[in-house]
Amino acid sequence: MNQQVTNKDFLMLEGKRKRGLSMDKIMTILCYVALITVVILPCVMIIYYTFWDGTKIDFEMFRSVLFQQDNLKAMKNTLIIAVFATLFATVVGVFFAWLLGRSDIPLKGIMKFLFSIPFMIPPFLAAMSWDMMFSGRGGYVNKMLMSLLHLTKAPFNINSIAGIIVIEVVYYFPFVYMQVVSALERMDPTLEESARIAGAGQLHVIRTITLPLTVPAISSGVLLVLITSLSNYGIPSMVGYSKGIFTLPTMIVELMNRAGGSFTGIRQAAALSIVLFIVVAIALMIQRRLLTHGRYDIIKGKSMRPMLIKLRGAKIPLLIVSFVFLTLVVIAPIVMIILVSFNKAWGLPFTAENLTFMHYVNVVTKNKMVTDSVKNSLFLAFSAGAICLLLGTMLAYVIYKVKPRGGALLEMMAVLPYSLPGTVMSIGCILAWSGAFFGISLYNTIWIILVAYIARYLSYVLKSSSAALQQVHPSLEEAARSCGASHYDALKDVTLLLIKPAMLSGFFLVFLPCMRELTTSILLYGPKTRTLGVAIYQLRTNGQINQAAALSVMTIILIIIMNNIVKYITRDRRKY
Amino acid sequence: MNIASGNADAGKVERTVNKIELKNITVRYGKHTVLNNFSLNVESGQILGIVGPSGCGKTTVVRAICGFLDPQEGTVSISGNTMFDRSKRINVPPENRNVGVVFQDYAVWPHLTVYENTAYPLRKHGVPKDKIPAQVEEALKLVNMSSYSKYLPSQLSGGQQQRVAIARALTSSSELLIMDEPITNLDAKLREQMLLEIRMMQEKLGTTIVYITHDQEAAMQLCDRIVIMQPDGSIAQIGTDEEIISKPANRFVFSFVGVSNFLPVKKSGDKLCLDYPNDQTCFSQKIPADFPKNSDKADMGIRPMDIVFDESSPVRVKINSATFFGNIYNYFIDLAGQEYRVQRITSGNEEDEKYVEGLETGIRFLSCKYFERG
Amino acid sequence: MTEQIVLEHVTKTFTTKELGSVTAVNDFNLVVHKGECFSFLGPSGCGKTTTLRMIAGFEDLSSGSIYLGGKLVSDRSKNIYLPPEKRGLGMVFQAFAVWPHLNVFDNIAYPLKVKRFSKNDIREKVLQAMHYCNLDGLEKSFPSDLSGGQQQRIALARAIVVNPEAMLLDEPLSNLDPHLRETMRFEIKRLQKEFGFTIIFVTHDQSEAMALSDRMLIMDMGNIQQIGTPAELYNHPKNRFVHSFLGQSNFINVDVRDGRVYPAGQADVPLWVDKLPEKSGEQVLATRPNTMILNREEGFPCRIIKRTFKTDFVEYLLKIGEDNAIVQAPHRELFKNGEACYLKIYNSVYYDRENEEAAKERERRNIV
Repeated sequence: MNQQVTNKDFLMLEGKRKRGLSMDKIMTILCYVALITVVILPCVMIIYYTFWDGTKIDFEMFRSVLFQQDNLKAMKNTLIIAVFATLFATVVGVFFAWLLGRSDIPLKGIMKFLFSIPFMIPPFLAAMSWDMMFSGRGGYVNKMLMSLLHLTKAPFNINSIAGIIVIEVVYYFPFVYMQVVSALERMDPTLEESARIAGAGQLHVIRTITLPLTVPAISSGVLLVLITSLSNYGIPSMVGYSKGIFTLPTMIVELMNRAGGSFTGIRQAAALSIVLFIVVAIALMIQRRLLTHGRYDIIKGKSMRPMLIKLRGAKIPLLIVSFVFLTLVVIAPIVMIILVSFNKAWGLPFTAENLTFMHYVNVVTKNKMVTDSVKNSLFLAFSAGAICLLLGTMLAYVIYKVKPRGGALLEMMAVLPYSLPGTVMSIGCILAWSGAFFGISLYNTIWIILVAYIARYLSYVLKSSSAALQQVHPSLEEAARSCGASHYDALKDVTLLLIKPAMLSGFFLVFLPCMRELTTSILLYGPKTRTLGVAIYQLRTNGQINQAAALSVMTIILIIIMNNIVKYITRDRRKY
Repeated sequence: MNIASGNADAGKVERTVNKIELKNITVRYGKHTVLNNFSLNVESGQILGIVGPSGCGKTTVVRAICGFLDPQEGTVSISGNTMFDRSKRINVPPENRNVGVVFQDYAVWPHLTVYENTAYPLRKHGVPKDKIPAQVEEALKLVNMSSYSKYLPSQLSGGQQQRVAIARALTSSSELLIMDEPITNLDAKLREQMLLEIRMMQEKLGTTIVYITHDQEAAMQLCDRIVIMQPDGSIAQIGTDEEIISKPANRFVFSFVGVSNFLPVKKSGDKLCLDYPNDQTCFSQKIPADFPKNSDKADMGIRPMDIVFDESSPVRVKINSATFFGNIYNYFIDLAGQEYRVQRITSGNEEDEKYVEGLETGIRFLSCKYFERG
Repeated sequence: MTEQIVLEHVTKTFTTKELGSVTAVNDFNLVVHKGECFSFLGPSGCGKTTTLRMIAGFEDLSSGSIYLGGKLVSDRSKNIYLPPEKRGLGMVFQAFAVWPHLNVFDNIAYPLKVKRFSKNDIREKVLQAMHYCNLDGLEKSFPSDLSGGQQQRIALARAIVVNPEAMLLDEPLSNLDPHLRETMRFEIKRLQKEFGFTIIFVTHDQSEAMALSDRMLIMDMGNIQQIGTPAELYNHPKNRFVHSFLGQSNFINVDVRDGRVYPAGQADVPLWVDKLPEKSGEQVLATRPNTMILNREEGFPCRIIKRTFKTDFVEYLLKIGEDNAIVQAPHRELFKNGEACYLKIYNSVYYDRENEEAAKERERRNIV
């Protein structure tokens, strides 16, 4: 009865082993190759150029760059801007988070919507608009105030360190707000209620319980703002360049432009990149240090609404202050860009006879540079999105499902560019792909921008795909196997379909920032490979400010449409 | 391969068909051995429960049966066909083992409707397209889910999702189902109902079911035979519910199935006495038959229900606490400085009021087991 | 006995967009005495948590009044509402609600610090409370490093450290595993003996309520169904809801004639019951699995349909007339499946047969 029946379905144990593993192995190797090429090589090249003068190891150049007067000044500017922008953005963000999360202020829905707007506008566009309003020479608001108050000098000058700080604060405070408000929403109301029962009044509870509990959320908001500010290129270059105010990222770009391809010039830019990287790394380390103190997660409670604090008499004044502030920082810049885009020429008053559609027509039909840039940006965003989608999902699969040895290393390599300033990454790309390897020179082609985009945004897809992948419990795949599906079938029928929405939203997470990218492309563009960001930037530098505004409006509309598509897709995902 | 079992011919050699045979299975994770030389036969047409504390390796057993895990040694055969034999280099992949599996977390695919979930195994097994709807309908009917065929799992409750998982396992194989803690995630009331439904379904189809659980009560309610596994991965006892309760094979089984007290006792001549330093009261005039042969001392295992209060008994105790649970009274008593648990089924009359905290009274032992002093 | 917590005609009405106005608690009257352990039991949404939150001061009343220790703390008509921090209560929540940013000592010291006790006093009182709650030596630990049971002990210590007269416990044990739940139940009982505070305990777990409380009440749809000791409620339930909500019940449709009780659909043999109803006709006999006794000598003849072993006892399924009934008996004397035996029914209660509508409503709400 129990004789061993051999069945034609039986697979040889060893045979199956080898075949099953080889598919996973190929993917693992592919991941390593891709990450080394895209991420590691550029980083290595920066170090190589900085410390290798062509014949020997050379620290002298790095030292001289570090202590050069202009560079020291740029460093100082970068730090001052970052510290103050972070400080004020945090205060404003926490205040609004508390106001919306814990008080009974009305019109919360509108305010929440307003907070989401800065996320959709690229920082350099915001800076451009602030420049239009408050530029020391001819900013519209400045002019208006001058004639209104009979001033002889412009009351505000956005082209200053303080100006940069202001723009960064209004642009970055929603980052802190988002983090803190979600922490407040997740916080178990009984944590605060038990403090009330213990005898503490409302204000005492805020000070001793609510605020300390949101410290982890505040810290991660601070970290985000600090690093973004340190590595931001768009804002300081838009408002600071004309007055000769440089930060590290703008200085690197400046050095690169001045070098004009000379070996020493490039080496100087590389050296300064290392300086910038070190500054960011130090910021990261300080934050990690601080974060280990907040070693707790906010405990999720029953879905019970927290007791809202009654503002009573302060309600209306606070509401007015909030709306004035939000109007000024969120709505005014957009209105300004729109007004300028419909105005006949820069500087003319906004009257009916100056109204024109000319700039839109010109931008769309007459300007070859602009039409090229739209094509380029679309091509780059689509390709980068698609490649990141495939590569990122494969990486996620390898790291979380195949779990090869060195999986942690893979993950580290993939998220490294996330904390690397875009300028640094771009310098690395130039150094690596201008003929340094196998004579491959991508310089001045669209491919070098593509490679840089992939390196910068790969981790976005990795994050969204791996989060989804980790939610696919192994038993879902095993259930398919026991239903008669092969390993490949189970992957195709279950796992891939389940993470499809996350992959799609990952695609847009790459597509959107690529569409509005400036930092990377400003360094890498060639005569025929301008991107949308570069085009706007150049229109403005060329003095075609109205056309720049028109193109900006179109870009913003495009981004808003795409953003809503992402929202639709991610909402769809909650169905599961 | 199914040959009718010869149960009808009483008196002859029993010829039950073994649906699953595990022989000398050894599974190691690194240095940690989960199963060592584990052998088990599952007879056809019955529900076999595998019960054990968490971490005893019961899930490893099912994973070896299903093919999700390759043992280091041993053979697995299903319906007489070898599915795994390392020495013969045989390893049938899970999809060809014809086993239906029901997981603890349901594992119904959230992107497919109830109908599509249930139809999936049929499609993979190459059932002709026109025959699929009827089979799906039949399976869904068995689990009372036919009116939900267009629903997505997220629109269903936990119990309904688990019913879909059972229907899917049935379309995959109506002969052999493996259920790994299928009701653990459901609330108490639903658990009872699911157990009844599983039993009814099994009786209708004659399916062989291997039911894995850590819950002895569910196993005793559902299973024809129960395997009790010890923490080291070995089998302590295989038997019916009555055998497990009335004739526990060892101390582990006794203490694993329900609450247990162990009292030290000793032989004193032909009397049976307590064996505390400060209390050696004799309470029985004869030595029970199952008293360990090689020693004068033993541990008496007794269930809380089997200790009854009796004022006239020589064994004196003090009631430390009395707690009312509705159908049951729970007491902690002090006997020679040790605390033991006693239970009484509530009578609903004045007798309930008699045994209060602080009372000193006597106890009698009604039914007990003797184990070597451990 | 001193009255510690008094609720008079307390009513709470919510207004929601979907349902309009909903009465969560309706004309609630209760006196809890000093030192008593009192439980609120009921299905979810019955209004028990709302009542507790009104006592704590997290919800205002719609009408009625609440007194704590003889002092009026809530009264809508007199416009009196004392905020929670001034009511001097202790409270323990289901999700522990220990503050993760404070260590154990600071968590427990918080109520004292708020009340501006001196440093030495604080230290002494906190260490004492920690000792009572078996937390010795954990002063410097953070809650995230501790188990659920320990976290709940911190919450308990924090509540008792100010020596409140009354404690409100909102499902404090339901986040713990069954074994720990039992241990914690004993601890709460022990602490109450030690400090003598009054407890109001909200739970949906009936065995917990019965095991812990001196008196309890059962609520449904915002109304009190019955107040009494656990044994009173279990053995003498006032209505069918209380009978079925508390513990397992057997409901047997019966016909009562000539002073005998016949199971419906089996008119020849009368049941063996300890008590007869006051009136004749169609009724429901309600009893409990533990007060039905199986034997081999006398009673109502019946047959075992199915026997199921539980860890503490054996359950036998019987058919009586047209209804199923469950009997619980110890392991030591077993009846076999299909065996004929006799049944005696004690503690029998009689209710009127319910109409179809009531039965449907009961089924919809998933109550036996």
